[in-house]
Amino acid sequence: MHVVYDSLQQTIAFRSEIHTPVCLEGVCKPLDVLLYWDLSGAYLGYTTLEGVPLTKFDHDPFTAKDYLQLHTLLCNRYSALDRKTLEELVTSEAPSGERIVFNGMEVEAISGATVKEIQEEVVHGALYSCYSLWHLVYGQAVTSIKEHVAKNATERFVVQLLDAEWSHYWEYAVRLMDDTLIQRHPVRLAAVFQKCSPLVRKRILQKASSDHAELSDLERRLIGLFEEVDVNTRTLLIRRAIKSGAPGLLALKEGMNAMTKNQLEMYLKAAEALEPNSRQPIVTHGIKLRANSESNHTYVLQQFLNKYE
Amino acid sequence: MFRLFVPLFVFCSSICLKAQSDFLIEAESFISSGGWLVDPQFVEQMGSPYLLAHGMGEPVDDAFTSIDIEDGGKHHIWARTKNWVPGNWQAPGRFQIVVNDSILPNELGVTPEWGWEYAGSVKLEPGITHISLKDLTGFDGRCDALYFSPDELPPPNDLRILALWRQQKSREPRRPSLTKRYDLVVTGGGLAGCAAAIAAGEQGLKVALIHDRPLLGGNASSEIRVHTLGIYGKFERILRQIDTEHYPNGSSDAILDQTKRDQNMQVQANVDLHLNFRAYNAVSQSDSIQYVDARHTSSGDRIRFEAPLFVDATGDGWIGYWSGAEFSYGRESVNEYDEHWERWGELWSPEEPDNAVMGSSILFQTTLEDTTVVFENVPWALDVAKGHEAVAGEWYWEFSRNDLHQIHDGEQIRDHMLRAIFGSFANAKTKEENAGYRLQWVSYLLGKRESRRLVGDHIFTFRDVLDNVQFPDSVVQEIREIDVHYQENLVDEEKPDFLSKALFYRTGKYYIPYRSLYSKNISNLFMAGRCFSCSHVGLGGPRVMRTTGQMGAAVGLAASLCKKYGVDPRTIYESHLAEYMQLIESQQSDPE
Repeated sequence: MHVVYDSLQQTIAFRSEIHTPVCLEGVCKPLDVLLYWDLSGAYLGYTTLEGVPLTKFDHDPFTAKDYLQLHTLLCNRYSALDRKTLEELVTSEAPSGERIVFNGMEVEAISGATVKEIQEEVVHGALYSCYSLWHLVYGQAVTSIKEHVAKNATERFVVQLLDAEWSHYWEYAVRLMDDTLIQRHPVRLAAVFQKCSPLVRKRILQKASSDHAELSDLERRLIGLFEEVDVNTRTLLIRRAIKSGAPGLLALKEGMNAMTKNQLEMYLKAAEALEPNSRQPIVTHGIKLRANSESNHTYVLQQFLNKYE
Repeated sequence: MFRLFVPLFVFCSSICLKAQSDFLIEAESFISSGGWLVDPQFVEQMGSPYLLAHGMGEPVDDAFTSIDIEDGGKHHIWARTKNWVPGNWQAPGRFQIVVNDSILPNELGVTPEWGWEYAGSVKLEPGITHISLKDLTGFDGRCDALYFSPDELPPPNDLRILALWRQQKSREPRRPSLTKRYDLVVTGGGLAGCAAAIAAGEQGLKVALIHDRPLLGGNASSEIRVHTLGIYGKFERILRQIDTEHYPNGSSDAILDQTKRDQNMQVQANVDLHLNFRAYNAVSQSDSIQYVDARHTSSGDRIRFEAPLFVDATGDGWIGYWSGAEFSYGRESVNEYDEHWERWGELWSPEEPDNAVMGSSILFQTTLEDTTVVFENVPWALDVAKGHEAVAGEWYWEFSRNDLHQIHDGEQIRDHMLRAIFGSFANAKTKEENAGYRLQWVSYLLGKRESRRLVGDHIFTFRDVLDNVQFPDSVVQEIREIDVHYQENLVDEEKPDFLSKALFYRTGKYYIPYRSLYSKNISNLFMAGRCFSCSHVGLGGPRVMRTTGQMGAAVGLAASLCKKYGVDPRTIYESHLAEYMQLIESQQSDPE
């Protein structure tokens, strides 16, 4: 496994040169390619070695379409090739015209329920090569890359991941960050929080949240993005804000009109539980100002005010 | 309306109320519900069954009743109702009250949240007064009750005070006047409850089966129409009496098997069916349930059911909940039971426990006609449907969100799904190629997948599947995938929030032990169905009907041994397991 650097000496990928025999019943042929993975261990691509094109089991060379199809297959982390043995992928039930025979032995067929499942995924006539390469791409190499990265990840490396444009890098970076590092990059993480998926947002919030009532700079920034994130993340933000008491509820006041009915009720219940002095600014600067807005749930605010006043 | 009234009135004149100066009429107790439907799903949250005008855009026929007024005079009239979609549009579920041919002025169903809305006043003459509910929209207006009073004071809105007020107005005693005693009381008439009743009844137990619908089958019924999955295990003979073919989700083919199921249950010699009775309480003493109380969803009649043994087949685990059984809700941490699946990570099982569960579905069916079918605009649905277009639905029309509880917020979830369906259908209808589509059927009953899971001596988990554990008390078996759902918008927030995806972990045969089918801390409580003892991921595979039917049959047989030896469910495992397993083995042949 080799590290690939850019001109700034930043690690940008991992590469492995593969020379492996693909064998069937003692008949073997070589398979030579270069495989590439990104920094998270996700497959990036492959190239052939100079002068060594890929061939099928009957020696026909790969066509341009075959090369593309192989790449598409290798991109699919969740291919049906996963957790299947070669035996499960080959059936003898195919009509003879659809069978591929090598040295008098049937090596591949493409009918039957199981095989049909992968029929469109694998290169016709190259099932064994496809199978071997897919398992190389998603096998021990990924574990090695992840172990290497976890051991050698510097702050600079993590920042590189956060600044990248690929969403899976963001989640990967957050996983690599400890509590201290998380709090050192509030601006970057808030930027990621704004554009990443709800699942990554959940991860960031889990990492960012402490047991302290007081909100950190990062948490304040995340709460400030309340209206720009999805509904499930909003619930998580409300829960965090409630834990911090009046400061958290005040920080969320702008988002009240974007809340669902249940979210509003959570918020108001927390406000109701505060001491009157702490509650007053939330009522005056938050609830009252929004109780007559166009939102569909302003009646919840009005009911609260009727009860409270 | 009046042609219908005359014969019905003659029939029911003996039960008509001799009204006092002020009086309460429960809408679900009307002489005729017309096209309105009795909806008992949310009694625990809003206080009562109610009438629902579920016309899919076509106003439904009037619901109607009559009352013998003792003292005439001016009466003010309120209806307990709600605007089910508050917002900047005309409320979708509006209706009016008609008294003796006079339409009261105020349109109702216009105020958010359940409460009393003022309909108007009317001068009543002593004698028979006719009252009807006139649906104005066909879009799920709802009415819980009507209150007539000479005073201008509306009834209370606070749920607890309202319950007491209701009791007082109806002069209802604290406990049901009728008590029935059985060997086994099964609550919930889905496939699990039906199978439990059959199995126990065949062994000679006197069984009560309490079910809050007129039709048996739960999610498999023709009212909900989730198709049946799973294998028969050791109970094919029993389950074939009550299951369904694998019709498409939402298909009207479900009706064909409904008749079979209902007829087969009617002929069970030792099983008393109490249809349209919804349990509302279960009381335990020294960790043993003494009785379950249930109320008829229309008449309000109540029965107390006493027995030494009870089965909770309610799905939501209500009997366990009321009686103090331990239960869980939500997803455990992936580490709690080692339920890791790297491929799907957090979607499969979270790093930290949370309150997420699989969602509930509302299924629907459309027909394609030769002529143009008009479907009106539904601006109140578009907040949910947004730009989504659909003329057909499937199981993946499913809704769950982390600020909603599948039980406490059930009405909100159902209503969200109705808006998703009506809005998506309306969007599709703007296209010329969909001109002939008609919404033929939309369920109003939630098809729930997951809520409370009662805790037993064993908690069935994904780990039991991965490790292929064959328990000494394996009474249920299954081969279907472990199938856990997630909402699509968790991965891509631009997706509609009412669509889900399924994660399938394919596996060989796996087994569920008897110890997952009785409560850990309530000594005489069995559970069968999706409220059995399992983890969130553990529920993924065996939550389907034939598998839950196996659970029901298994506990029905266990109950027969409990009676034989005068012991509780746990003792069957500890002291009579060989006999129990043999009894299960013998189930393939007809009982003598």
